[in-house]
Amino acid sequence: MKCCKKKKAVENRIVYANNLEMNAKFPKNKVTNSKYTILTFLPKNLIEQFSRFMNIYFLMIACLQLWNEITPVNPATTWGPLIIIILLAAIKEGIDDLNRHKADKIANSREYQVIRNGDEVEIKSKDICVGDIVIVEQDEEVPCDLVLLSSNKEDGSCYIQTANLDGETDLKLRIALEETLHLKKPSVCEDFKGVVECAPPNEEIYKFDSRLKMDVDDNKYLSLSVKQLLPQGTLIKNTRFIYGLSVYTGKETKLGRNKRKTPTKWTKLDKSINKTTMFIFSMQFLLFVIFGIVGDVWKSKRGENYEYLDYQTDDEPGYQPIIIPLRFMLLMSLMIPISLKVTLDICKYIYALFINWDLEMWDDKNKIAAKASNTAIIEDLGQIEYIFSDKTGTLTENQMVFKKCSISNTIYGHSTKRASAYEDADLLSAIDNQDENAVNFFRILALCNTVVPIKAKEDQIEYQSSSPDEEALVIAAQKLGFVLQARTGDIVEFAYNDIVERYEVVKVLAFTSERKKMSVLLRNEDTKELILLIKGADDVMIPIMVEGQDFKESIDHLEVFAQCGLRTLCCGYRRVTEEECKDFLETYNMANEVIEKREEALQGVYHMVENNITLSGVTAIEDRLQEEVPDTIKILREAGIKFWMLTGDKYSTAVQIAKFCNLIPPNGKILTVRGSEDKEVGDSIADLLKQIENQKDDDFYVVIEGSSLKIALNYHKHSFLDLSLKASSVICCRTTPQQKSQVVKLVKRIGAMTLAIGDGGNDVAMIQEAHVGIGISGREGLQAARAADFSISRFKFLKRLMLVHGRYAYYRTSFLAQYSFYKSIYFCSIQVLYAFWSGYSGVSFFNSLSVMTYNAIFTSLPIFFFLLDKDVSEESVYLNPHLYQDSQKGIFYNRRTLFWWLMRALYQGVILLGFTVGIYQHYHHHADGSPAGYEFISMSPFTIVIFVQTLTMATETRHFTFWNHFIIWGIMVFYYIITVLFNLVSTSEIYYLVFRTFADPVHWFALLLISTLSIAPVLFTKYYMFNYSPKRSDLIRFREAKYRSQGLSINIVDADQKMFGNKILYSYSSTDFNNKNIFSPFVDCFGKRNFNELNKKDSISQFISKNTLQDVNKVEKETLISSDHPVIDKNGEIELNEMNNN
Amino acid sequence: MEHPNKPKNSAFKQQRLKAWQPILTPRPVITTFFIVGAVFVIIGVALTVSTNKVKESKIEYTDCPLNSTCTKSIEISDKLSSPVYMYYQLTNYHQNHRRYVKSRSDKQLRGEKVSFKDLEICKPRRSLDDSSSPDKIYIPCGLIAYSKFTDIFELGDGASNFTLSKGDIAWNSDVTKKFQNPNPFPVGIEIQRNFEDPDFVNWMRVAALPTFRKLYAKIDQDIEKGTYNLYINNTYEVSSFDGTKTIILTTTSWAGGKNIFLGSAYLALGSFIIGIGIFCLITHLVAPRKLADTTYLPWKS
Repeated sequence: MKCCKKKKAVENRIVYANNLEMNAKFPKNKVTNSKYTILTFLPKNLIEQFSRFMNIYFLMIACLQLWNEITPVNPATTWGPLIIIILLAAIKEGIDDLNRHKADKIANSREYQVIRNGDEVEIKSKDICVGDIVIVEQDEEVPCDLVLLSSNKEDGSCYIQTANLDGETDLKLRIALEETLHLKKPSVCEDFKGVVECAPPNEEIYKFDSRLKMDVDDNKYLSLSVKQLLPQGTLIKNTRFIYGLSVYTGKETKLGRNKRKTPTKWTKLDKSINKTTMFIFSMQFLLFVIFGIVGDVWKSKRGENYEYLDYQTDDEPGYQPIIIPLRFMLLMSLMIPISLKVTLDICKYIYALFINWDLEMWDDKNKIAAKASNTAIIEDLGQIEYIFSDKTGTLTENQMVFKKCSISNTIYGHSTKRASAYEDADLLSAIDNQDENAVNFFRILALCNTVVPIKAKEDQIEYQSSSPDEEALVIAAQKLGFVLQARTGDIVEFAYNDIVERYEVVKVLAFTSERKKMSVLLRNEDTKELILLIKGADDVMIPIMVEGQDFKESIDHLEVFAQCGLRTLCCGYRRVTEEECKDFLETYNMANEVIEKREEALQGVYHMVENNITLSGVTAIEDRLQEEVPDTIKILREAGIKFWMLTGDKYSTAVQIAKFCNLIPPNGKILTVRGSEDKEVGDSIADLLKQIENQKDDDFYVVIEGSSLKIALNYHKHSFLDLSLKASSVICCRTTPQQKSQVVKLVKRIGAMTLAIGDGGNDVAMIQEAHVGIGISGREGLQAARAADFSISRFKFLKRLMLVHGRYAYYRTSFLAQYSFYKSIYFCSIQVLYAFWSGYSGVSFFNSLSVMTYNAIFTSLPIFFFLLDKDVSEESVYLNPHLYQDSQKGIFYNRRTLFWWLMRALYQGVILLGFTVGIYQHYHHHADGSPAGYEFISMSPFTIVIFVQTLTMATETRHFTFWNHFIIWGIMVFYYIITVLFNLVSTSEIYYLVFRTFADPVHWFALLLISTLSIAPVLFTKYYMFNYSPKRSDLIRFREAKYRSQGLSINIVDADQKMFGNKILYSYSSTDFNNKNIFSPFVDCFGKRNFNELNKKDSISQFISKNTLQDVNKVEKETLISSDHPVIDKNGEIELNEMNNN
Repeated sequence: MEHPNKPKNSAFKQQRLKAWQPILTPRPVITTFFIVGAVFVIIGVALTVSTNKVKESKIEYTDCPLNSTCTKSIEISDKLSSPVYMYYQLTNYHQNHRRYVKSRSDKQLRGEKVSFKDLEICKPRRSLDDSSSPDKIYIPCGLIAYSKFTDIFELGDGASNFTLSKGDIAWNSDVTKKFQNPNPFPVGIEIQRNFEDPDFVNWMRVAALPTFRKLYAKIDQDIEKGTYNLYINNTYEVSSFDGTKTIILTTTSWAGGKNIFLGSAYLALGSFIIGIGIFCLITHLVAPRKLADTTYLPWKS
């Protein structure tokens, strides 16, 4: 028995309250997110860096180079770059860790009140021990995992916000055990010697199975659950203070155990680059084996007999046969550019800066600039195929404005969509006449909430609320004369027409996203009458309406509102008798004591009063679309991106908003997946699939509600995916955060690149799931922005982020990576081919200085300025969104482009070495008679290599800024300066060589000949492809050049097309889509004649079919219709006449 | 007052730097092809003409018996005008072999004091049996020096011999900086007494290709058309690597020795580029591509 007990003690954690000695074995509450200390930094960081394959590879090469017998060049050629690269990475890590240290320090030095020896002592967060009783005040962060003992409220309840932990923003209720409620004063707390027995530290946020005894000697255990747990990092809300007993501290808290390294995201392009690296690596392996074998054979068949090689004197160590292969391996190690990763990292960092610096993504109203938090994945912005967007706050402003209402079957604020109830004379007169229904209705708006009025100035009331909807309703009531004046303690004050009513808040039946409703139970101070005010979504409100009330018309009105894209709520009330109230409160308190399934028990209790509701009216709140949303969505879809909307709103609202923002054309075919059971949903999907099978060409739009979505995701993944992928767009309404991320995951499975954009905590899951997550730094706080890879402040900036920054980043990185491979292979092929003339001995053709400077300076510096390159201008991308498909479909980096780069490298390598040998053969000697030696024959071609690389950069650059000119031509000058300097050192192996080289006219003739021969075919191919088989971007370049040559500019202005002298300013309003030339560069480049020819080209045919004039007109028409608003008449009917006229 | 977070409106940060955006339109490209092609043809002609002026005579003497004096007659078919350069040429000789090319100590050759460890690089010819005793060290060490060319030549017309000048056959920079006699001459096995000897210096400046020539002497007088005698003190063994030995007498031009390759390459490439130019011109004329035809621009209609 005894032993068992002991064993249990090891497993479970036993916390003694107020007992520092007994709890001394537990760590203090010190948070460490930092990875290194000064001592561990070097070894730890090095181990980390050398656990990467490429670094090990280069380290191995560098070590092999130390072996004199096999190294073809000076070991510094690898050691130098390797050390620099390792150093750069270490410095970056060091700076990051320093920042983490700083953040830790802030978290650790936050001060909290702790009970020690009966006093409140202020100590730093890091000094909190297990067993301490901690006082946390409102809006403070909980320093460690606490068991809630008591709060300022009598029932010991408190609200927490767990956003830091799980990203959910709604408030969660925590409630203390009744036995501990008295622990509210330091003096009382001191005597508390309770013991908590709980599980060892674990990751489970929603589980805290443990028990408490009130005293060490007590035998009675009270059970504790997650209901009493306040996890570290959560915020205390709506509660003045709480007392809590700390149970887990430091790294052992729930939050601490849940911390994981954010996984490194690799872009699609990175993956391709890695594949290329592996391919080159295997090619290299194959080559060095082949050359190694040939070298060994040559050696044994020939070399060993040659007297001058003197093999006879060797005593033949056993490793001899591997020496030549190893030499070739070292010679070819250059094939994989060592600096590639560093180069790309630096470039990505600069792309990120360009995003942060971009004035066109600067929100002047809110003073927020765009921010790239994850610099590693900018190229992915250029390759997106699916966008998943939240609605509220992302597409819309999240600024709720009360717009319309329906009170006792009368609609107010009718006539047009824009009309507001405020201006409705009928409503105003109803209020003037003290119409009872109207007064009741607005009383509910003013009182049924948790909004806190604050007297800002005299007679001026400001409202504070966590819910924008509630705020909008209170403000609406205020505007119409029904003022929520004050909320002090449990008393609320309500005034209208000089009448002041005071109510005691008996109970707030809080809102949760599952309940979808909230109510308040009020007692009139004067009449002592009890009344329950309630508001909620229609689907939950209808079942609890009082029987016999005719509310059909109101619900029809609600539907009309929803079709106008307004957010709707039903408001109702119910008189409650004193007995009912007593019963309710008793049952409520009982249910509150239930430990297990308390939430469900409470639901039942709520239902005691939340029934037999009399419907008072329906509210409609407008959440305006952000500016340029339809245009942005249109451009993104023209760019070939599928746009899905995932929202928590109801079906009709979602569909209507989708229509407003161009997602669905007004007469678009909407297919709705229905059902709330497995079979129903399955049948529904199968039906729809059959339906679209019959009419293949039509665009259609799939809409699905959360309840059906859940089933579809669980049981009909494949068919649902099948249907969704065929749809032009998919709209999911009433979704939970989890479902949003599941939808993203589903689409990821087909290998598509996804982007999720949202603004609230409920979008965090989806943002983290998608390849690229974008947060709108909006009104719902910064959580989404913090979790996201990029944050922007308006939805409209998304098009610039993707079409400009994403596309350019992809274009630039594609070139940088391929060029890096190309120049390495080019150089390496020369080195290796020289084996044919050097007895396969693995000797280096170029000297060590050349090898080192080629990679470290002459080819790595110029490419950085390719960061400024643009294939087409930004304006052109907006005007021709289909250009995005260049990067989306990866036309700049794929097997074909890689193949041609490889061919170019090999061709130029063969030409260079072949012609060098041809020109400088035995018959060549300088004008003074001395023959060309080894040093000369390696220096002259190296100069040519530098020329070829310079010319390659010049032919590949399409956008020569001053800096490009400076670096491309400057590097030549720099080459000559460096070479001359090294040739002045008398101990150098190339002493004085350069002067002889430059004095030899044949060197210059060779230079001209070989450079021309290397570049001419490239130029010719470029010219031919550009003119006779152009890519999308080539055509646009033509157009740009045309405009430039005529002195025109292609600016985008917001107004309609204007003409100033010879300057044409293009507008980018929807009317401009008539402009066939915007979409059809083929027409103006080549005339109609070549249409068919061009049609054959795969890349272009899609473009043509997308953009024939007919299509453009269709788009145009749809735009006009959707931007016009339906008209609502007095009876709530939407007049469609006007729309049909169009 | 600008907001502190507002990005700066600089051309660089906004990616609005002024830029030149060239495009490859037919007219300039085709013109360039024609001009470049023409220039290349002209250069090719010039190089061919000048290289044809270079006169050259050679005689192979591989068949001479080893370690004896041997006389070969050499036919001069065109007059060689002064200065005439005399080269020996070896084939199948990989002076650029990895094992060979590194086997030298530049430090030692500069006449500096060297330790045994400094000479590691000279292996396998560092010292006799790789012994560290100072008197076994090769002076200078290494395969290149060890295998230096030893044949000696005289050229005459039967009556008298030409003066074979060795004055400036080696590079001045080599003789003054890279090769210096050590003082005092160290103990060891002497391979070469005089490091500054131009023949030795030339041998030490290794060739990049397996067939190579080394300058043997300069003859500062014209050699008339006729037959001459070449006297060879034949001591250098080439049979182990199936090599050949040849003596060449040649004049020079502004572009160096007789190099037909370069001129021909220029002529060929020049004509090829002109060919491409013609091809482009024809395609352009047959199927013209007008750059953004203005008739289709919206403000014209």
